Amino acid sequence: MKRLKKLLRTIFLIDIAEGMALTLKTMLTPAITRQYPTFKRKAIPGSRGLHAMRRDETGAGACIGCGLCEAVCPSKAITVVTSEGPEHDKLVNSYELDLLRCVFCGFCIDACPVSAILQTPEFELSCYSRKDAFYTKDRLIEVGDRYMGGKAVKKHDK
Amino acid sequence: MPNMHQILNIVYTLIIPVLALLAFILANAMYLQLMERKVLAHMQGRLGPMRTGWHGILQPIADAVKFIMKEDIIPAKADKWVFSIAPIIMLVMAFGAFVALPFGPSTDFYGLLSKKVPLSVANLNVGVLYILALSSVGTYGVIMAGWASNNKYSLMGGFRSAAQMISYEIPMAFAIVTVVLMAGSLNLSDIVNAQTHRWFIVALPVGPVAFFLYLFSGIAETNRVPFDLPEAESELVAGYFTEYTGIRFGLFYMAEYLNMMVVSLLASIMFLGGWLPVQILPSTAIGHFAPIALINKALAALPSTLWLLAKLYFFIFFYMWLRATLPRYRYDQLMAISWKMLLPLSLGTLLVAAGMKQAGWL
Repeated sequence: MKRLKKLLRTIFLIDIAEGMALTLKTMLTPAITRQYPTFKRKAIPGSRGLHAMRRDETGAGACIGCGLCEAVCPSKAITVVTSEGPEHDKLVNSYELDLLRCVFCGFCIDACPVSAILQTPEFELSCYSRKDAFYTKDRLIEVGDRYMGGKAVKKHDK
Repeated sequence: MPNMHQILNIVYTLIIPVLALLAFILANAMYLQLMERKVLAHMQGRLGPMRTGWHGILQPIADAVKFIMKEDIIPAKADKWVFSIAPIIMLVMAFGAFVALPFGPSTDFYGLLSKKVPLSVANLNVGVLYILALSSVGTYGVIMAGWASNNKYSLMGGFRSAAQMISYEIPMAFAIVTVVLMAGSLNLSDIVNAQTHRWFIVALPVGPVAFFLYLFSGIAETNRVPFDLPEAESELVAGYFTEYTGIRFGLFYMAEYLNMMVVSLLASIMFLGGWLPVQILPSTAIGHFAPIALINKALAALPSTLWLLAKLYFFIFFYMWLRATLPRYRYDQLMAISWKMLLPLSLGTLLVAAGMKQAGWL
């Protein structure tokens, strides 16, 4: 009986008809595609996009130059250069983030003891030259200002 | 020296119909591609072309410009002449088939002309035979393209296409012969007129079977999914037109859509009553019931060419629908379907039809 049923399904192309009903149904339901540049989707809060640097109370970049982000970065995208200051304090000479290497894993954010480096939800990172993909400390602070209005944010909670 | 009357006669009977047909064909060949992309996209939950004009309405023009601007590459080891001629053969054969296809009954364009003229460039009395012959010659274009490209994928595509087209031409021809038997004529207009009382698709018992056979082999003849082995992307890159670029590639594409149109038009003419209007159960009690009779009258009042085009686009939509649904057959399955299933079935259908005709039941 089962075999007969299967044979009849094959002869009368029932399976194909069912498949075609499905495609017709899909055609009649509206497509879920968004027309990207025209209609932009709101970024999900907490999504890991472009990095930003927070300012500390004095208004300078909050980075203390500990180098933990550099150490934890799996793709070696961060380079921190520090030197010793006049009062044996640590000066951050340069903080560079190479977005061409970055995998946006967010480890640097987790590693930072003072929550100096953060991630914004910005995801449209295309640029016309390679140079534009290198983020220096100043540019990171600029991004931070754009997203946080220059205000120091409270410690990044995990 | 031909006089004015003769020249005008040539203009009316040849030049104007040919130009009208060309405009119709070219516009269709361009816009069917957009239609296919749109239908496929929506069936896959996408949108398709959206950015050239409103919902991509200018996409075919952009494509045409791109095809023409692209570099025309002839591979160094290709057979130059055969390579160049192949797409032209394909296209000419597709164009040629349209000449014999009637797009409506004889008409005087609502009194515009003094006498009724047939709505086809040439009202051939062997129209069916002519179209069958041209579609066979079209196969040569595919084989030549495959051979001349000097590329193993092209060659495989060409071989497959040759085998496939020859195999499926036989059941297709038998299905057509069945129709010719029922209509008693090889003239396409006469075939339509023979369906005035009953379309051949509902002419039991042979009509539906012949229709099924024709549809099946028609899809295979035009190398469409699920019989698109000659251009199977996953195995043969693009099959016989792998090496073609620019406008030559465009010609192959155009030929494919034109062949689709020819097969669809033939299917509408031979099985769905051509330009005859759709009627809800005519010549039954329900058909004579007043509101339904009114609807039937309204349907019959529409221009007959519109009905033919509606049927044509229905078939073309059906082709695209199949393409969005079905996977490709394996090569041995393809051959088995043709020789073990369709051929005996078509022979049987023909025999039954002949017997019934002889007995006067058809």
